[in-house]
Amino acid sequence: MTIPGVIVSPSPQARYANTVWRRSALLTLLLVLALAAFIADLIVGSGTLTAGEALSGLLSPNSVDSSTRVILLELRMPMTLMAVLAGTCLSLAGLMMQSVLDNPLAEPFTLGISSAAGFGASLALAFNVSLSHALPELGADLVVTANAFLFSFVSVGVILLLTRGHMGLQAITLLGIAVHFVFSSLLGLVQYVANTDQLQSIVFWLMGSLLHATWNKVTLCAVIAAIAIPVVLVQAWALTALRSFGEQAVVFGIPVRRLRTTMLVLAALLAGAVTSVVGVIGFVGLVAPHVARLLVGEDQRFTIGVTIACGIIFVTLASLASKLIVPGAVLPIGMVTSLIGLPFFIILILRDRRLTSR
Amino acid sequence: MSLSTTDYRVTLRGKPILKGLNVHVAAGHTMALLGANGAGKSTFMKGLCGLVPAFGFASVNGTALLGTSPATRARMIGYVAQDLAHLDVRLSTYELLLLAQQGSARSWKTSAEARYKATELLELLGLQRFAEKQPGQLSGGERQMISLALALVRSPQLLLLDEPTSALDLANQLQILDAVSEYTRKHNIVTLAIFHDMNLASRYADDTLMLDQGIVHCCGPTRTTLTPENLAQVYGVDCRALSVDDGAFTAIYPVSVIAPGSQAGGR
Repeated sequence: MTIPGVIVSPSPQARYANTVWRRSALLTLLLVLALAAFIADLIVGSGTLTAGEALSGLLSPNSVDSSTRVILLELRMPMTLMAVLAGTCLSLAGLMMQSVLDNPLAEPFTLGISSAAGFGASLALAFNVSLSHALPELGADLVVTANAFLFSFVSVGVILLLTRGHMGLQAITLLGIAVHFVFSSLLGLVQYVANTDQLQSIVFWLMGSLLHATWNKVTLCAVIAAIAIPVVLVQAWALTALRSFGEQAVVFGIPVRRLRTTMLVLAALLAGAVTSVVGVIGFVGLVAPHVARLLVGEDQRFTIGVTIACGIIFVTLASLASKLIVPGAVLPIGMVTSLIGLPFFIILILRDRRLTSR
Repeated sequence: MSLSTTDYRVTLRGKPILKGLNVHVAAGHTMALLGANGAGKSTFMKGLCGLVPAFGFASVNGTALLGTSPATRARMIGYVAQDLAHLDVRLSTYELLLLAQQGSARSWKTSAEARYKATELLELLGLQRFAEKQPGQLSGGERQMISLALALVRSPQLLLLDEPTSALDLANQLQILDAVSEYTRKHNIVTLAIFHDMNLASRYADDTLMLDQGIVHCCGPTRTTLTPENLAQVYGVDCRALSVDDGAFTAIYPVSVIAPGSQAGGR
């Protein structure tokens, strides 16, 4: 776009430097917003504690009484951290799935992780049957989580084993759907034979709730996120190449198969860990990557960070809303995420010329 | 400095596609890869750059290709695919040129050299006006030129072009192929190109390799290989070779199909 009369138009290099600067600024801004949402979620609760008390309790824990401290550090902090981790892990897992499966509709649960985890959790909730009983003693609060996590891994393991050698993307996606149906049927079966109390706890679990968060579970998810994020960031260029060239990324020196397998396993770990703690939180994993792409494009050096920031903002704001919509009650986070995120997402789609033309 | 293959074989889904090819191309040469549909031309290229598993032996400048890692091959080979449908991504042409050079490199930042080369390539192929455009905003022919730029920006020793001009208009065909053959000579690399237009092959290829059902039908200097006899045998089409501009060029004019339905011609 040269304007008549303007002689010096900046070189592609200069314009690119400008683009990189703008993207970095946007990423920073979003991370700051995520931090703000985190703090807001921490000081706003469903109980009697006022925001001012909460804030002073956080800034100087010794200045408030012990019950306030307990509320803040043992109840709110794990919940809020879990919201941050859920946003982080689910959005990143969604980005990986969409990149690896080359499918804009892919999300963390495409390979059947949600129903597998749900089945695992329901087995533990209804019959106290858990794969984790084979492991050394776990805290009682971790039995359901561990079973859900292990089953979510079974689903991905089965798919990876079956598709080894010929990793057709469609085959993987279709097998994921098959696995999903197997586990949802099994989940239905458990619900059918469970008694009323058991059924209630299963349904509650499936809706997704941050109330299950404890420091142990937060640690589990934090460790997995801490392992996965650096691995993904190191592969940023390779993932960009995979997005741009698909199978032909091989020609640009990318070991496509190995990259795909690594990313699938990481996505399964991330989604499985979060889902086994808080149940099924949909929408974030599907939408955060799309929002990130609309904002900063496909350079994964920025897409990864922006996706995570968007994920955190979504889930923490949803958590905030879930406490505020009905005073005194905490709505299941899984429902709220979709409700507050959808309008925003629709606006973004309709404003994007690339998606609405042709 | 050259490309050689010995007993080069590719089998896809149990079906042998290439059945032991021995080919040699000297550095600085452009070789046309010709043959009827299904003869194995594209597979020949895909096997070299690792998109399909290939067996036997192939080397570029004495460095073995087959069985090496994608990163090793990528340092030597530039490939322009026939199917560019995938090249529709939210990245500008300039960003793609940086990405092509980054490959599997671990470094997070782009090097100044990479940025310089991206700009240089845009100028070489006259694509400056597309620097900020995304492939999805461009026409098929423009995308084909971008794809060529992505192959050249990595300074390949072996350039594989699968129908590089299929979507280009007349002027762009000549402009792009002039650039490619000049680049090939200047940098002393080997270029293999699949053509369906015999006149382009005749004009630009130093050597011609004709494949027929997975084996070499003939291979040698274009002058003596791209003949009506060979074309009749490989394509089953009666052609005339016409001298243009007092022998400066040879034009190939197809007259009629000799053996309808049988693409194996004289075999």
